[in-house]
Amino acid sequence: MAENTDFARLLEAVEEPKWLTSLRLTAYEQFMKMEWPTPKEEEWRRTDITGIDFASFKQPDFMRGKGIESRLRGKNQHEDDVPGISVRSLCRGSYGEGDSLRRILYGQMNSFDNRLIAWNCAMFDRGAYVVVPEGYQGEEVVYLTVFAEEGGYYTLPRIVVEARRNSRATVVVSFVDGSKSEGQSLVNGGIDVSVGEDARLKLYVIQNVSANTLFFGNGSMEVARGGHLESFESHFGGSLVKTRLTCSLDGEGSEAYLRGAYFPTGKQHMDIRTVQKHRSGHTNSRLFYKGAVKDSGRAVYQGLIEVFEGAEKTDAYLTDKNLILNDGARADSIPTLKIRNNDVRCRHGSTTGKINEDELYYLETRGIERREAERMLVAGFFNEVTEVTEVTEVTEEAGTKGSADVAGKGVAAEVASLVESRI
Amino acid sequence: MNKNDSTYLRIEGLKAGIDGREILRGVNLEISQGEVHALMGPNGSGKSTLANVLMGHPAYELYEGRVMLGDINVLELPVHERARIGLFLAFQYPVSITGVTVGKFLKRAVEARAENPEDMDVSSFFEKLEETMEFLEIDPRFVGRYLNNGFSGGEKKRMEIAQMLLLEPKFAILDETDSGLDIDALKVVSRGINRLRGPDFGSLIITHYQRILNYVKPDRVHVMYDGRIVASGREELVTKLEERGYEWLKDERVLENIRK
Ligand SMILES: Nc1ncnc2c1ncn2[C@@H]1O[C@H](COP(=O)(O)OP(=O)(O)O)[C@@H](O)[C@H]1O
Ligand SMILES: [Mg+2]
Repeated sequence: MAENTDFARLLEAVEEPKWLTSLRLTAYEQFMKMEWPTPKEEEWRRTDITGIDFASFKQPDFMRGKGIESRLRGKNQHEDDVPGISVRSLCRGSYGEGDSLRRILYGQMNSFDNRLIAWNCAMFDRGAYVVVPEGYQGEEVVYLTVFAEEGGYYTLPRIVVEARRNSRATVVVSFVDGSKSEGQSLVNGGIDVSVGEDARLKLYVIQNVSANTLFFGNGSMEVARGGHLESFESHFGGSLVKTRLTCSLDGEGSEAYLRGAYFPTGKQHMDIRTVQKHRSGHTNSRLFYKGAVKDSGRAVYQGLIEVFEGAEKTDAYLTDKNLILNDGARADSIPTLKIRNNDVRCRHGSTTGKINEDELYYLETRGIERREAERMLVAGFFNEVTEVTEVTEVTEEAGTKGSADVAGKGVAAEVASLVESRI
Repeated sequence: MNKNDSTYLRIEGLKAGIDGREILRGVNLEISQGEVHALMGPNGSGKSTLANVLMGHPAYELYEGRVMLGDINVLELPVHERARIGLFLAFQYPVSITGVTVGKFLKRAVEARAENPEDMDVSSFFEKLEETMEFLEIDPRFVGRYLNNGFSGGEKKRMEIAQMLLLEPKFAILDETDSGLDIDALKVVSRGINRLRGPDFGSLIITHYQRILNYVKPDRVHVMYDGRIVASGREELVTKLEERGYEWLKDERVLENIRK
């Protein structure tokens, strides 16, 4: 890891806005002062990283790594006077002081509470900045693929998605790396999402790095007045996965539908945290996560609903379900509420169980072999979180087929095949 | 299948139970393909246990006896193979399966039952599915719904019958399929059973009530009491039971009389 002066020199060589360099340097100072998290902190109680030698990971050629690949797919059916979605490099653009990117990053890069986040803020070395322009109602879908460096390196990607006022868009982010086995790699990523007033954003994240990579992630999503966010995150890769996704309902009447899936097998350890922050009144959040554990896999899910003082008439919901596929696999689910307002409706729950024997028997009585019946049930277990959009649309729209968005269906299919390959 | 191939389901001296407790205490019963039998009896007499032992529910222990389908002892087969050779159970309480749609499930079940799954024609399967659902007055949108998830009692029972029609079993056991159905649903369900009636289909209709038997005329009626078939007869037996109730069976002399 670079020393202070080295780091400043590195930054000099980079063509990025001055304000960004100074944000990085501030973050770097914090980074140098902080310690790596330890199991003494509640959030890290079940995931001990004190044995990880972070200094042993090599620094990739700064700003010259594989970067993030982006593709736009689908028709751009917007009005002539509305520009299309733009995807730019986060590190090389010429963003001014007044640019909204500065506002978004400023908020995130000054409020970290652990050293991993500080590390990414200071040194993110590849990034994408997606802007959905005000009023955009086109059909384009943004696909971002983040490539992690292989063979003993660390990768610090950062993605910013900004859906401006009254826009509508879908973004799909995949984290992948090759399967070079020499040395363990590390990914420490960040995603910042801003959903503007009355905007609608769908964000899908599929994390499938190789099975011996360490994966850390921090996502922060803010929804303004009347905004609507649907997010889906899924974790399949990584020997150790530790993530936090915070959704902050900042504006009156904003809504979030958060879904997630995780499936540690072998010796994988995944610790997934979500935070639903209700900062304003009449806000609505629905969270539905599911995990399965197999072999000696271990899953930890920690979910927090936090309702702030002024957030009256808040409606928050959180449920996490876990499926344990064999003895020796383990899942812990810890939902928590922190409520500072009486006029709210909050419900949370979690379940952990095995495959239902009666369901297995039922499928077997229809001629389906036990192994296949198990597979169908595990796949079905996850379908409930991947197909959600599709199912509600089908029932609401009197059975019209093909109404679910193409991106969502694609993600559901990809997740289904990842699930099936591990059962 | 021609007449000579037609077979029978024969239960011979079947004793089975749970955790060492005998529930079926020596059941003997034979159904020929082409026949519909009714099995009546008070709650707790062992009717569902019999149905589940025939299908191979893992919770039940087998103590004695065998169940022959032609020359195969079905009790030696794993559950899915019993289905594949043509046994079917319509459940008293069908489970719901989240995440597995009716369409996907039925397609897999029909493939499993087909002798050569590779030959199965997907489009003709969906045609048949659509036709079956229409016949049973099931909303076609149910194909895309998760199996039995949020279905009413009656909808679940229709779904059981739909499966039976698609799988075309040699022998179907219907466990209280009529319970909890209103008269319209009962007619639909009966229509489904009657549709399969013929030389290649045998069935055992487990019921509490005469009602369904007005629509599906049984060739033979059996009464189970305390883990045994205590009486067998023709349709008139149903009327007698209906008149006098199961209490009537507690009297050993009555049983003696019926047996004569
Ligand atoms: N899975 C089971 N576990 C424990 N007891 C059972 C189970 N299944 C059946 N029994 C018992 O066996 C007897 C017969 O039950 P059942 O076969 O359901 O009767 P019926 O279907 O005729 O009402 C009852 O005493 C019931 O409590
Ligand atoms: Mg019963």
